[in-house]
Amino acid sequence: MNFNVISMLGLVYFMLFCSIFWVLLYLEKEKELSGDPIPKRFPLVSIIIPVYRNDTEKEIEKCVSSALDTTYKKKELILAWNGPKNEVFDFCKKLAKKNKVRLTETERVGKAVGMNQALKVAKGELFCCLDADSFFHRDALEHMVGYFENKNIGAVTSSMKVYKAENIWQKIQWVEYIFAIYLRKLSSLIDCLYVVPGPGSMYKTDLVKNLGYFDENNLTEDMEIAFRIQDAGYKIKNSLNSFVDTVAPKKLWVLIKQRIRWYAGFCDNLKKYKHMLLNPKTGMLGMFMLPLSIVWVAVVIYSLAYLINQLATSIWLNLKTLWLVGFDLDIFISRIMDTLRLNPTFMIWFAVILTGIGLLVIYLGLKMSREDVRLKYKYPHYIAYLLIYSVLIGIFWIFTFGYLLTRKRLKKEDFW
Amino acid sequence: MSTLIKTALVTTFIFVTGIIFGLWLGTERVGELDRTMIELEESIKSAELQLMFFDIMGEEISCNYLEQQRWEISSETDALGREVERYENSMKLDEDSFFELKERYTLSMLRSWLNVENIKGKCDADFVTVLYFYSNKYCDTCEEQGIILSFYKEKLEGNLLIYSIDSDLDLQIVNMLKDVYEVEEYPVLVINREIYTGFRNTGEIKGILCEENPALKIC
Repeated sequence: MNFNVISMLGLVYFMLFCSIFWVLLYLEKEKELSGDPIPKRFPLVSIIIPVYRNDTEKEIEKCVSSALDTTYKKKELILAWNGPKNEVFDFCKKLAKKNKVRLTETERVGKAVGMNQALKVAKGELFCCLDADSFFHRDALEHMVGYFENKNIGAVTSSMKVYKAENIWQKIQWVEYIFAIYLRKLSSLIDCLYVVPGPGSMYKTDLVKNLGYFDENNLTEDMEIAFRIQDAGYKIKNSLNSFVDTVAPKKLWVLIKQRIRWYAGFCDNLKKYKHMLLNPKTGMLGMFMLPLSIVWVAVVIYSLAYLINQLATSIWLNLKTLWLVGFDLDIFISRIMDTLRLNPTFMIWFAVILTGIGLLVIYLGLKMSREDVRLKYKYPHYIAYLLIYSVLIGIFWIFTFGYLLTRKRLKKEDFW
Repeated sequence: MSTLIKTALVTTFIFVTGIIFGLWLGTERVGELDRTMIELEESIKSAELQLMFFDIMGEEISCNYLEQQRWEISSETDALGREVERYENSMKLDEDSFFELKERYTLSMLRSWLNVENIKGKCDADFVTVLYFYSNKYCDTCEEQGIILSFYKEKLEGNLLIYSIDSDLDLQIVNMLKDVYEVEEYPVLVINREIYTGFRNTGEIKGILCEENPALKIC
């Protein structure tokens, strides 16, 4: 066996292991999936909506009304403005006045800066962050509150779905988010969550204050706080029934920039909390999930490099052929047709198994997200996802490494 | 923790079934190529017998008949060669059985070459034969040389017969031919028994072929 075959077998074993693990965990924990603890107390919840100049007025208005329309009664709403003011700020001011909600403001840029300022005036025992491009389902809060009756719980995440997936990039993200709902719930059951996403997550107010508020210099403050909460010995749970819709990036470059931020944030936080890695005190998070995520990154990069190498070799060989045969198209086409014939290898078996598990996971994710499980419904989403997503992830990581290597020369405000 | 152990067991099971499938697939493909090779060897044996018949019985040689045999054997050898190359380029678990197969194929191919040379001599035929010595380990230009030769082979169909010899194979006959044709660097072309060492571009190959047989349609 040559190096190619051995590395491919290693890759296959790892991918099989990961996908089978999540399916077995689902089967084992099926009964625990959908139930949320029924609250005995209903404490005040501060809903903080961070707003800044690039948010659209339409989305802010929809976001605010979704928060006001939630059926949970004991709540207060705070609009947290951050950054230089423009007409969006004036709109927020009017909106706050009209709906009798508070508005905090700071000229400093950063979601964490705005959140921290709002936190200082928040009266709720619990608080919820809701990005301005996200909207609560009406009963979202009730499902999360009950978890906090356990003193060890520091934060609860919601189940995020993509709002109106219109173009191909949003359709891919729609499936990705369904997949994430599945993974997030299962990860929460084994205490492995390392992100408390911006749209619709709930925290214990005193805990976040005591831990020193959100890190204002972190690319992904929602990931940093997740690490910090767990480093302090608290747990993070997920409420499957607490749904939040969020607007996913429509343009590829915006999506790439979002992922550069997420992935670079992951690298930064991993560095910051490296003492949690392989530390038995951190349980499955440090012993399993974080090492697994690091290996995943290596696998994604290796697979992409392999794919690019294969593609480049094939293009180079074809161009060379075309040149050597004096651009004789008949001969060239017959060679191409010959290479396109099916050349069965043992990889077919693994490709079938992995695609099967992939479809099963999408099905389980749809079931958990209460979406229509018939694959014919929204089939373009699945096809786009299965064909493009893995390549896209590799591209995100390449850009992320590019960013990490050059970020000292980039101006933060201009880039984001 | 129990989920991790269960996962490892299930993964290993699926992984092992995949390996078994891969080995079975390899055996099947080698088996199929073997069957084709047996058919080819039968055809070669039949052609050899016919030549022996004309030799021993002293009958007048029926060149039309032999030419048709030659044509069939060449196309069978080419088709098998393409399949062997396809399998060589694919990912496989059992390399050893492939090398055995390739050695057997090389022997059949050389037998086919000798048969064709024999027919050529006896019938004074004007097709061109090329022995092409290449190496996957010690040759930078063999890929290009192979592309050029395949191009002319497709253009000239049965009038150009190419026998590609993987010089990395440790076969007695291959070593003997390498000695006879003084193969020390690659690629080496033996065109109608004339030795050409080193890479030859499209124009050079055309020139040599036309010198050997000006009646070829590319000339």
